[in-house]
Amino acid sequence: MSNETTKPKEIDKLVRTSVIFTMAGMLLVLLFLLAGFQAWSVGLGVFLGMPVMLAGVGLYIFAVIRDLRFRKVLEDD
Amino acid sequence: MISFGVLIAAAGVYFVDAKPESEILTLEEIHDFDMEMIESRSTIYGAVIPMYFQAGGNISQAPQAEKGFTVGELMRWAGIISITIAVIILLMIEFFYKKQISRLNYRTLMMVGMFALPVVVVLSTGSTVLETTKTVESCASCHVMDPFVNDLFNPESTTLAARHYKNRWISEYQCYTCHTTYGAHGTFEGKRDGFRHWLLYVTQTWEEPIAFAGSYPNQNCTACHGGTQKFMEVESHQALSQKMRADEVSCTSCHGPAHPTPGEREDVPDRELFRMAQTVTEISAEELTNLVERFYE
Repeated sequence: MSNETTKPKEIDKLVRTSVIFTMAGMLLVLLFLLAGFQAWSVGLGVFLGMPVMLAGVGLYIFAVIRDLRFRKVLEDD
Repeated sequence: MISFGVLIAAAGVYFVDAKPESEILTLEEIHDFDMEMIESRSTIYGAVIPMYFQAGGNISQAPQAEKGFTVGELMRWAGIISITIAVIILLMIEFFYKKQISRLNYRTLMMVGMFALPVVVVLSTGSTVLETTKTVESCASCHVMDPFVNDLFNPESTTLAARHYKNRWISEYQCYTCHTTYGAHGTFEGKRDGFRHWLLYVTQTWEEPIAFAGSYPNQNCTACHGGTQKFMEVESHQALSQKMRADEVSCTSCHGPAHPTPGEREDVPDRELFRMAQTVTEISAEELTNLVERFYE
């Protein structure tokens, strides 16, 4: 519990940013899946939505690694 | 979540069951023409009428060889449902119940919302893109392709593409079958060109008249025609076989053009003009009978 309270706010911010990115990306992809193959829907959904979603996932992985380092889980004994 | 899934599944089953009954018309329902006449008319119009029947009255639709709930459609729905669930989960645990739920539940739900469901979304979107780009409708969705798609539906057209389409030498995915580079099994260059074409289209920076930039291997033609008796009987095919294999001589050199030439593109009539309703009203039953008789003579 003490780890939770002392966890830097930066990690929380990173997690929240990654969640926002992932949700935004997925909603853009949803546009494509609902609207079907159109020039605008492919642009928004596939060429913009997918990278944004993957960036969100990548950011979350980065946040988790930062958190694990902060908790010294990744360090050798 | 389970109830939502069951509801979607029930709706899907109803949709699959209900659609064919309401949309498929029997010959008796469509017309009081007898079969002989329909067959004759089909011959005259180069299979335009069966396409009309298959498209449920809309001649501008490409004929579909298969009906029903496909794997592609299943993947699309998997993506839609996954996104809906993931967004709800992430919204709830990150913005509303972060403090209320246990750390274990939070992390488990984050794993689901940030990893498991996005994987489904990536697979679903990828398969949907590759599946939908195969349809003629997807090519027709960009106006720059209008002359080429319109030409397919033109009964008067003698281009290779139009003849393949109206005679149903290719039953479905007519654009994709000849331009095989952009599908799931196509080349990386095909995907790169697809992105480039999209970019040129949305930024309106393409140059008129558009031209096919890549090379067109004869193998795209010989995959169907090569080895058939008709193909082998043609002396020039045998004489040029080596050059054809090496793509030194193109099939379209003798059998082209594949599509309307730049000078012809402006004159290609809109595909909407070829709606069957217009054709049916133009010819009376009496005229048709005379036409059929003359055809048989």
